[in-house]
Amino acid sequence: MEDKVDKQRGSGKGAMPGIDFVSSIVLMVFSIGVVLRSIQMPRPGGWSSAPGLIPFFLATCTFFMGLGLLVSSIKNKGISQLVMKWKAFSPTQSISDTKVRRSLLIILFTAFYFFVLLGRIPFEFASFIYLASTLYIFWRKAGWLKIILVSALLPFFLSALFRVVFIVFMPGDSVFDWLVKYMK
Amino acid sequence: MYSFSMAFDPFLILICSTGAALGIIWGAMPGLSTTMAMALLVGLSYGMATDIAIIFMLGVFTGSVFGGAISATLINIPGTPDAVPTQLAGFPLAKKGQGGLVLGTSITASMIGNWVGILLLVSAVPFVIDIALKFASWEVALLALWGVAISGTLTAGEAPIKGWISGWLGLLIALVGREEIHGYERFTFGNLELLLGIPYIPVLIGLFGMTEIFDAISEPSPYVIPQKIGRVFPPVRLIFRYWKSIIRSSFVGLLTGVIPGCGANVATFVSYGVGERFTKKKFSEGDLEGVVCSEVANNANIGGALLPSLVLGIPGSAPTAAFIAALGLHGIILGPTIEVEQPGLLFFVYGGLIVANIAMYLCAFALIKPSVKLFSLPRELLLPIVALLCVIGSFAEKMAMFDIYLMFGFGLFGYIMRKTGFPIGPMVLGVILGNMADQNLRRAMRVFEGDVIGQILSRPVGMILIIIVVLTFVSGVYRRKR
Repeated sequence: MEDKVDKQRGSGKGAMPGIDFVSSIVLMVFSIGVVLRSIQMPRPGGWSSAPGLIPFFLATCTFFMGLGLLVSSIKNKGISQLVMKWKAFSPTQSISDTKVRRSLLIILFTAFYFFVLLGRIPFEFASFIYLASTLYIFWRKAGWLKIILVSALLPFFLSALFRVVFIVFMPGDSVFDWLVKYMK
Repeated sequence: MYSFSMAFDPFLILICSTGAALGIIWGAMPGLSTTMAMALLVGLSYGMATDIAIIFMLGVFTGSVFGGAISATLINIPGTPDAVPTQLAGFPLAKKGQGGLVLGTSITASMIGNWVGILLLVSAVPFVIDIALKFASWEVALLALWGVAISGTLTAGEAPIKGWISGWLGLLIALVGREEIHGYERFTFGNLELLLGIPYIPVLIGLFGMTEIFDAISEPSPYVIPQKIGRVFPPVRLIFRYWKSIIRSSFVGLLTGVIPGCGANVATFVSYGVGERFTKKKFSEGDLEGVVCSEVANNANIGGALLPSLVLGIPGSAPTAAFIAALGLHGIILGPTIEVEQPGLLFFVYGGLIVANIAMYLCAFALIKPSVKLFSLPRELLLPIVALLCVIGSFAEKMAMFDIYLMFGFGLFGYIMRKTGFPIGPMVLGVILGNMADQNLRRAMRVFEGDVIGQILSRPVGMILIIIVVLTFVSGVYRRKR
């Protein structure tokens, strides 16, 4: 239950020494990069109003927080835990895990929808392809007819609501934009 | 007073009721939280008139905070995180066929909590404005930093350092783009799209919306829908019996609301825990008093969270961060000068909250039975649909594909953060408060130049805030060691 609450709060699992070890190193490297970049920024009105002042301050704090996380991870046997996890890691086994596979699939489908479909073809068609494919994978028990109906009607409904009622534009134009052009 | 009465316009009442009804349904859906609803609405409200956007968001906010109780009680899955205590105390009763009574008590307790929140907001705003107007750049910057720090402490569970890191990263994200004092481009790497900075709406939608989609779809959760829920309207004397818990929980809800970043979930857990200690009862065995504690607190939290948001421009909770962002889209900048720059807005919000509360009360009773049927909609269907709303919301403001890519990037980043145990809330707060902290801190340093230490020591309010910031960090470190 606690885990569920944590997750819903967005706080995850709390102490994870192995993961903390890696995150702390990434954070420290990142904050060093920001510090170096901040120092290189010009100081037209002196140091007090320099554009790099606050990034320098924040990145320095982040570095020390990362250091704190690293120390606590080492204290909690983060390195040995990481080594153990690394040895036990198997890419094929991870992908065969249903949870991982489902998350990976939705990420890939969404990336394809955002980066390939949207903006190139009308919103309704792009969304139809996205919805039909995701629902086919995740909601297979509904049957293809229901999936096709939902995937086709919902984007049109949303498009009509936002494009016509709220005058909000859709990425890659909407069928309603075509209609307006045609009627002119 | 004209602005106050404007909220009672029949058309706006209809809009507010629609918002409350949609909020209740949204909140009742497992996996769809209040914050997600508010984050999506930010972009979608762009096409609405300002008064409609405000009243619709208030309706959704109020409705969805209660909505979580429906699924928590009836199917043992909290619709929103803050409904977990309601689930603990209410579901055992629902199993005995008293689900309707639990929900009726939840609705009434929610309404009482809302009234307390509204009363606090109305009575405290003038005092807080008076204090806030005395704040100079130094104090405002410290307040923003404290907001991010306390949010990190309270949302990161046993590892507050992760909350602070998340908040500090949020502040750094906000610094990307051309800064306003010298016009220098920071961390843009020559990318023209980043020149105006990273817009917080795609960040908000990505972190709260997309992250939830990526994460929640991995867990199919079959549940049984109850056929009978029994009596819904609670006897009046039942509520009066718990008057002590109502007062206590209202206080907890208000206080946790006023503290930046400390949302309804903290309110309900604290209120539930304090309630058990005072009454010496074990609510998890099924107890209406536990439900009252939880529901009064999370609704009183709404008014509490709106107080710093409206008067200081510092969000009291994640949903109010979205509310601030939505008002920003309509050109409304919140802060101590709100009464001068936006005359009448405060009274309109008061009126809107009252309408939303009444609408929530009526819609909730009307929607209990239909919403039970809605649970048959699986999240495998709902989440991809939410992705479409995320797209529309992110694209609406600037009509730029880049914002959709940003939203996706932050969704992925939020997913990684969640899997590695970093809370998302402080980052969002950091992104919203970053520019405020940056500009005010540098302005203050410019004023202090030559005698920084002396100037800092000579400002009592600033010193108090420094002590509070230090104590926040020290208490977090101490808690971790313990």
